[in-house]
Amino acid sequence: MNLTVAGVGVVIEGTEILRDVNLRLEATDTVVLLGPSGSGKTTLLRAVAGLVPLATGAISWDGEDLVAVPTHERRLGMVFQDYALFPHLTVGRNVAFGLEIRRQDSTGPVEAALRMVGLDGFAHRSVEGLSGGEQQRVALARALVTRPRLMLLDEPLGALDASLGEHLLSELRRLLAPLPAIYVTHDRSEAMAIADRIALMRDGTIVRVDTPVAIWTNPMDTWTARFIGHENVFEDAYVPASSIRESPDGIHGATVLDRRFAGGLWHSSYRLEDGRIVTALVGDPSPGPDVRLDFTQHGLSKG
Amino acid sequence: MTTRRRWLVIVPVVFLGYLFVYPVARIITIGLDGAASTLWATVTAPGTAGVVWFTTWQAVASTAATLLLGLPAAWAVSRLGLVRSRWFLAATTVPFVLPTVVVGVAFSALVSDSPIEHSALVVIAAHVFYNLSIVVRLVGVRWAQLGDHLEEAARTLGAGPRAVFRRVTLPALAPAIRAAGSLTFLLSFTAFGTVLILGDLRLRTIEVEIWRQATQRLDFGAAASLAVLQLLVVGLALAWQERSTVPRRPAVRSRPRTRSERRVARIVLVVLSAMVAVPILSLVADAVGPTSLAALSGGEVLGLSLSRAVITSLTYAAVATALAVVVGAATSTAIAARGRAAAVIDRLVLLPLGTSAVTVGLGFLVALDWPVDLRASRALVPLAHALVAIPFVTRTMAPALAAIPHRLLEASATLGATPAQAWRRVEWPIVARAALVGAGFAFAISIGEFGATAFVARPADPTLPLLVYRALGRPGAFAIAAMGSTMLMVVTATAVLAVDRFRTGEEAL
Repeated sequence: MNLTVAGVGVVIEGTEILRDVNLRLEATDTVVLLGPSGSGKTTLLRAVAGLVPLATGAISWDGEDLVAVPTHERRLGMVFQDYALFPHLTVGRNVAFGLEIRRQDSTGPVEAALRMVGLDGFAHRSVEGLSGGEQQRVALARALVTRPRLMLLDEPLGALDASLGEHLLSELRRLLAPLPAIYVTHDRSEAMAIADRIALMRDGTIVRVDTPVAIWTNPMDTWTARFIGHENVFEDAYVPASSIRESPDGIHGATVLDRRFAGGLWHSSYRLEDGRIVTALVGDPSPGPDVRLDFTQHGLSKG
Repeated sequence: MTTRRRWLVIVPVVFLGYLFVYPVARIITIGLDGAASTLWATVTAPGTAGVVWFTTWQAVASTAATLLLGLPAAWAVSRLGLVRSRWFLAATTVPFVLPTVVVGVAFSALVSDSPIEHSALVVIAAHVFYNLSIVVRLVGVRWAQLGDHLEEAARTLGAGPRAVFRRVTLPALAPAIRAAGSLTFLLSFTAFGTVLILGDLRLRTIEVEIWRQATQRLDFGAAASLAVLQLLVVGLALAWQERSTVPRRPAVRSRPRTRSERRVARIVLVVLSAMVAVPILSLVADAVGPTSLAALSGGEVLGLSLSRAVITSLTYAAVATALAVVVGAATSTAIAARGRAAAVIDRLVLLPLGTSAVTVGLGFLVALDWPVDLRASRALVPLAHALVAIPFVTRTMAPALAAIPHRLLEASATLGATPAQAWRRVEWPIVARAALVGAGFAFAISIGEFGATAFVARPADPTLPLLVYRALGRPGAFAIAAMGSTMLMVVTATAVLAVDRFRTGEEAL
């Protein structure tokens, strides 16, 4: 069971949206497409779904070329950013839609799917009155109930408030565990939490595919380091904030510019002797403006 | 402050009460006079069944034909997007805003001396021409706003193109199709001008029959009974339509379509535009000639003076517009102040629209002899026109007023402004645009109004539409009718398109 995206390019109304995209997805992989807005994440997802035509390249499933296969025959499940629930159908009929199309029995599976997403007893409700979180679950149940061979999720938590998103994130992890999935987000902490691997997208192509840990600990270039949220990124290196310690025999001299209590730790910023400014969370701040620091520094290529 | 404004509700209550509720009540009393015996006699009269049957079947056929042609156009509009198809939307709006007399004359010009002249087929064709834009606007705009997400979701769930259309697109469009269909039915059912002109009294809808009974046979009892019958049917249709309001949804960006789809969509729109253009062009072609130019240059030709009718129409329209804007503004202010009475007025103000102009005219004739006899007064025509136009003014101004944040009025009060000053310095500048749009509608309506005017205008001062109708009845004067219609078309289309442009500008702000 694998999906291969090879050399894919997409042109929409004369504008090149994707160029030379390569990606391979195995068995139960959850790959997160992570990138700033406009980097082509959603277009890539839609290309895999067959919703936009390819200008170049190929997409195949277990060696079978998918390009000529229309969307409705690709056997995939997709969760749209706005959920795209059918307003004229109840929750139950929304979930049953894919099964009814395939003329499969829907009663049992729909009940099971609703139970799985925690919406027992919602089958006869209208989708119009549902909260954002409930709509998201219906969309998820609707996609999962057809037993798709691949799940595609386009910013599924994007329309929810942060705390609800956090809660649904662990549920999503559980539900997506048994099948391969491509998950689009621009939120790096969401990406880190859910991804087996992250595909970093920039300017219409995938620039790197790696595990969240590898990308965080070794961002390799300054663009990646900044994009995934490292604070102390300089022209050719970065200083992980977690490595910064105040210590009387530290090897770097520094001046404290600002300290804010951030609950348990102090958010501190320093000017180093070479003029660079770094920030860190420290536990036990030394008195006075002049301190000594210890930290490690990693080289980066310019990106 | 707003509580005080609620008293403005008295303005529409008096206006509508005297000019609409009271006359309609008189019609009902006359219609039901003698323990419903008049009504019964009229309903069972030999001609009535035929009139009701024709009214109904032509309305059903017109609705079916309009949907049949309008749905492909709606599809094309949704594929090309609202921006790319705006010229088509504007082109199909022209027939809808044309006075019914003009539509009648245009189709007369098209089929004169052909075997289908005065046939139901021409009446239905005219109704399709007139109502096409309802389907295109309501369904097309809705279709475009559906976006692609629902259809895409259905595709990812395994639905092929036909299943997507049947299970997702059609149900989503159903409310809009129902709304467009019932509105088309209502307008065809209550058709007056087109049927009067194209049917030559051989084909009669209930409206035409009311007019014939009241003005040709002077049988006000029969006319009133028919008006009651019509009110019943229209009331039922409106109640049904009320239930099928189109739910508002946020506009969704449609994705670009395939090139071949766009090509087909363009062809559909070009063909339909041509179909809309043919009657208009044939009207203009018939208008130009020595008789019509003579009638236009001030002289009386065959007893008809175009120039005098133009002046009469413009005068009436100016008075009617002023009246409609004043009463409409008072009504809108009361509605925006959200009093309980205003909520009722909000509904009541729409009633003259649903009741049909002929009923309004008949009501004036049977009721306005009290407290003073107004029936021979010049004031009747602008009063009737204002009554028909007020709903349009209210529907444009009330939302604009209601959208003004209450905080602005509070702020102006803290700065020392009286309610009147706040209205003049804060609210009016904000809603002036909406008022102008309402005034444009009112003007266009007044210029082209035929149904009510046919009852209340004094024979010596015909309006332009009445003159056109009169010209149709005189041998050799068809060119004058065509010229008058062309002028009506130019004036109303210009007014409405200008207003439409203005409104688009307003939304852009």
